[in-house]
Amino acid sequence: MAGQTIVNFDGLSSEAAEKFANGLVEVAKIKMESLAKHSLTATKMSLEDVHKAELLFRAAATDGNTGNCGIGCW
Amino acid sequence: MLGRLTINTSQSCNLDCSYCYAGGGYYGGKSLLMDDRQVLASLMQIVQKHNDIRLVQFIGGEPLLNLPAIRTLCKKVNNLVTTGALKNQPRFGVVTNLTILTEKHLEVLREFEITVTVSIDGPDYIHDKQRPKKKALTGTHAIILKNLARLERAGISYDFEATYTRLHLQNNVTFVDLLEYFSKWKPNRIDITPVSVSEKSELGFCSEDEQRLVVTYQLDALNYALDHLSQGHVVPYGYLREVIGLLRSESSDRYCPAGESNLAIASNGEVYGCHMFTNKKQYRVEKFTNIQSFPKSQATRSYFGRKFKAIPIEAENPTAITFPTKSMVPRCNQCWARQWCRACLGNMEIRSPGKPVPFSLHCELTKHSLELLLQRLPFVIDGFSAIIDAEKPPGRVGGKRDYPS
Repeated sequence: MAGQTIVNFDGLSSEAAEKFANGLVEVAKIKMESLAKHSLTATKMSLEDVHKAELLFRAAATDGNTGNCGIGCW
Repeated sequence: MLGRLTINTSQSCNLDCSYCYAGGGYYGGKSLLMDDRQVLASLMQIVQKHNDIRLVQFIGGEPLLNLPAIRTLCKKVNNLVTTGALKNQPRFGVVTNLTILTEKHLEVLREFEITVTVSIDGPDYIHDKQRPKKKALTGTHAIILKNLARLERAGISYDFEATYTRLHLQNNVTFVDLLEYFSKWKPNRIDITPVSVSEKSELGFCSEDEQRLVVTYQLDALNYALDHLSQGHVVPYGYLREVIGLLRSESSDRYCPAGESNLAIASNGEVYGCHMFTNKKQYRVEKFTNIQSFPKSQATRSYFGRKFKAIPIEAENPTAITFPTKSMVPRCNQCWARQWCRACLGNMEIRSPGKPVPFSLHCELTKHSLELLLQRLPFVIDGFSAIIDAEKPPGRVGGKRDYPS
């Protein structure tokens, strides 16, 4: 994790935590879109890794065999 | 649109897994192979309502015990695509213990491009204790490895699905250990899920300390996958994919898509919101009744020359249980993560039958996972981009690669 501090949102009020999380979601989406513009196939990444990266950053939450219920499942 | 339609081809199984939520594959009923006529009738009714299905998944019991049913269903689904009844070609999948794999199985898996999800719990000293054969009670790990090699040779893609139990804890096997263990092969996806058992079961995690340790292991695995990603290497950890998917999905008041974009057809043709509710009549979504005895005017559909009528189960079952939603649960109303969280209704039902509510530790896991991902992902993507830029061969310019939106 290279020294990165992870903030626990529970110290914030529910409203503040939700606003903060929404802001971070927007940042994450922009980053993912920017990554999508990269040419993965032009790199030395193996085809297998390119395929896995595509699966990881696809929009669909239901792409897995678990059909969107692989979410921790406690 | 249905995200997933599961079809149970065999409510029977050759294994005797210690934690099986389906009661040895029988779901509390008797051993049953798929009734073609009833299941096809239900499929036709479902397609009338949902003309787009993303994934058709065969489950059991052990679904490969009934290969003819899988072949029949694949052909039928492909035919529905050809005739336009289905808008798009669904993907096919099967969840199997991979102990039965003849050349005929390989042929069918290849012909219909069925992705195989292999249930394997890790190294043999754990897997063999948890997933022995019925009666003989001998281990199944060695045969699975042999069959995995055959899948690879046949070019059939596969995923791994492991159930994490107290036995893993007792042997100091963490989630990261399992990710590393499974990475010896080439799965497209690795799912590791804590065992679903009632709160009093010895197979589960008895103390709060044990439960918290498992959540820590899950978060460690998320960090592990993110660390690798920032170095340009993708660990196909299913949970990471699901949490990233959540960030891009629409906000929902539902805990899971059961009964909405997820349906399950049992071997006798009954339809449930999820296969985990099979034979729990209060969770049946609807039933398709043979109405030969009904007046002709009431017949709505015809299949194999017999007529069926879809009856919403609520109409005949006043005690039908409504799936809870987040707005029905006070502590969810006040939670900052409510717009992204998901939870398994099947697990809730196993944990507290008849009164499904999210398990507090699952809420903790979800919140910590979101905190972790939201704060790390932008940096991880920067690292990933830098690596793939640095790896570009000199003088080569790549074209843009589009991702599906």
